[in-house]
Amino acid sequence: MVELRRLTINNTHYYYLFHSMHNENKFLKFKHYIGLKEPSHDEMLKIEKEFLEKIEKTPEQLTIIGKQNIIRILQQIMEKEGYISEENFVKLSKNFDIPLVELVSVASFYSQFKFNKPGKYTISICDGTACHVKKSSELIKYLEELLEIKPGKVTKDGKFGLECVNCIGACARAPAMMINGVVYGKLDKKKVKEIIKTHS
Amino acid sequence: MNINTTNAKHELTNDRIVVGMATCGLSAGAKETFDAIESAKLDIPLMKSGCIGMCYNEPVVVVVQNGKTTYYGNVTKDNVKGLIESVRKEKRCEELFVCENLEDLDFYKKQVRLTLDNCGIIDPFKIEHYMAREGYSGLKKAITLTPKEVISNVDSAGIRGRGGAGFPTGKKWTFIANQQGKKYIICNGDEGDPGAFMNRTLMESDPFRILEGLAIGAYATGADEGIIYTRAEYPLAITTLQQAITTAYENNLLGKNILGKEGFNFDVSIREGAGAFVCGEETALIESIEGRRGTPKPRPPFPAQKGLYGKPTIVNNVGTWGDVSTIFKIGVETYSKYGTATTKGTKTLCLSGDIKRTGIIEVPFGITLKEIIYDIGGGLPDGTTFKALFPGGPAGGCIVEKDLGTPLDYETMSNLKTIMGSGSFIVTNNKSCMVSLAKFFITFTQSESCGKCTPCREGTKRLLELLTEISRGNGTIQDITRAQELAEFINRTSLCGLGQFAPNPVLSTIRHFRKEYETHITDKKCPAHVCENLLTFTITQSCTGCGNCKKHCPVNAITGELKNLHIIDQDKCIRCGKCYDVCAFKAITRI
Repeated sequence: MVELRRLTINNTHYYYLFHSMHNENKFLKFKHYIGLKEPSHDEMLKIEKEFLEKIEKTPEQLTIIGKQNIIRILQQIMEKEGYISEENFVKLSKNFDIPLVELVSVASFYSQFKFNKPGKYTISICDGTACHVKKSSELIKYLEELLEIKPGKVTKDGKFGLECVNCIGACARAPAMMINGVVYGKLDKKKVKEIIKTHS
Repeated sequence: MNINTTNAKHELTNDRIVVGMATCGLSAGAKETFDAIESAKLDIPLMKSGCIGMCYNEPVVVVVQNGKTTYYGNVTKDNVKGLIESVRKEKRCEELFVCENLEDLDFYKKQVRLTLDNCGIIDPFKIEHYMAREGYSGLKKAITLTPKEVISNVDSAGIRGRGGAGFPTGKKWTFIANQQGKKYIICNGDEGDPGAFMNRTLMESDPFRILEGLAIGAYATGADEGIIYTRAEYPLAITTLQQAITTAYENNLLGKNILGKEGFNFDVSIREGAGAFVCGEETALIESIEGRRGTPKPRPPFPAQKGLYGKPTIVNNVGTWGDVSTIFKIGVETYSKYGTATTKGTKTLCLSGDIKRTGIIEVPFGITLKEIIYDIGGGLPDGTTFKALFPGGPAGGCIVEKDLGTPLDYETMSNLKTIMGSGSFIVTNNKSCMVSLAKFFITFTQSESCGKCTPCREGTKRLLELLTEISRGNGTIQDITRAQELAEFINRTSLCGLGQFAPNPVLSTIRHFRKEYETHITDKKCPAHVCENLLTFTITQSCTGCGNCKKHCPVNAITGELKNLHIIDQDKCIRCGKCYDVCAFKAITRI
């Protein structure tokens, strides 16, 4: 029997399907994320049918494979959307049957994963040792004033996000920063201002 | 596998223009330089290469015209026109000229570029270039020997792990070679040490070097699967490696029956890190590949006993795999000619910080630190003097002037109570504050601490608090002793290398610069004028009375009338430095 279940986090409802069965003395659980809207009766029939068809084909090792690749899957989401929304977490958790808390535990460990919508351009200013010795902290302060935001935040118009990172590997061209993957080196306040201007 | 190297050999010896397009070059504007030269439609073939090493001269362009080679530096989009004109006229562009032979430059004279010999010369995306310069000759030699003989060769070459620990590589390989069943070899490219970019350079400039080394390792140990774990912060390195892996598969250098050797199967894939410094530690790295939080595990069991997915695994640094490739290409005898009695061969290092010539170098073990900094690096820029060298990133501690005569080696460095590390060498000058730097390093290691073991998680936090109070002028003399005791405790009891070595910068700066700490505490002054809370801002006679500083002061600490000398009330001043920044007449001093 396929059940429709609902998970509520902070007043947001997430709907998913749940199905369980016995198979050679093993108790198997299957879940499939649907969306934020409760499906109508007709929609429900259609989704149920597809779900059961998929279960017939899907091997039970799906969860283990999913767990191994969890960082890769999160990175793919990061590449596509620039951050991992709460909905994406719930979706992954249900589709791979991994406890939500475990997913968030892994994602929150790595600094690459962001949980807030990024700006159009993410400025990663390097505060590694070589850049620090070349006065990167002055540039960080300058950027905070120029963009009127603190590291970790996004400007009001959504154009720029600022973050301090530890060593992007351009130490011989210190102080350096990276904007959306492009590295700029041997910076000073004037150059930083010009580079920000070209991105406006 | 039939790769035609005749064309490649011509491409690499005939007239050509080469633009260095690794990350250093690109960050200096090499793409615009390349595009400009391409649009000029000169009669000479144009090609891209990796990093040639002299990052202080990026973007670097090499022109080989009429058989003559000339190296040009700092060729940006603003001055490349001059270079293009000179090429058209078949003359030398004096403005951008660097040298005709790299060996003429002090930067290269004492270097021995064995593993970096292709960097900056070949196009990293073309396997024909790699093969034209004896690429894969090492693997071809290795498969004519038995796996045991390959390991014994690695042993005789005396190569030690280039990641920093210096464990004998051959010995490490025997740990899994003697075991049956599924085995893994891992290439650690999670180069998290600030100041280190040797691995990035090799991955971007000569990726097949690494793949060849891994294949040799696979043959010797019997592993059939290899994983290259790189940082996500190295996008160009990942793209280059991915392309190289695809090409290697297409040419029977990876996959089944490599080079026609029946049963020699080896698959390689890339896993990206996700921004955790601690994942450079081998057990944390393995946890990360398995999709978990990258927290280290106690050893034993070592990865060789129970590693990735519970199978025997060995982890070696990118540099080590590159060197393995080198050993089989040039021969064990040639390789072990270099180095010291305890450590053979060469080491790639990255010079950065307050030094004239920054870049990536490869030197034989045994060369003195003084030669590295002064002969190769050119010493400190004019107007500053040497204060300390920080090797090995945030774990290294510092080396002072009197110890610069030390030869480069694992044991000699640990005798100085520092570490060799992965190869990052950061030079600081007399204008840097050692308390501030120690605080900076601890801030880094504290934020990267995984949190698993109490000494590191709580200890680094308390150590940071102590240093912060000292740098703010709120410390006591007992705080220095407290910091030392706490540091030694964290060093002795932490679970992994991050915690064990995190206190090093604190311990060594206190050991060598104790007076500086005491001045912060007793005089409440920062001798290098760095620690903000201990600075005094004073308006001098150069003041024109424009009132700009008064306008910007967030606490209204400045008084004065128009066109008259303004004064800062030191009791109200919060030392934010705003007045200093906005004064157009340089009338404010901060000391």
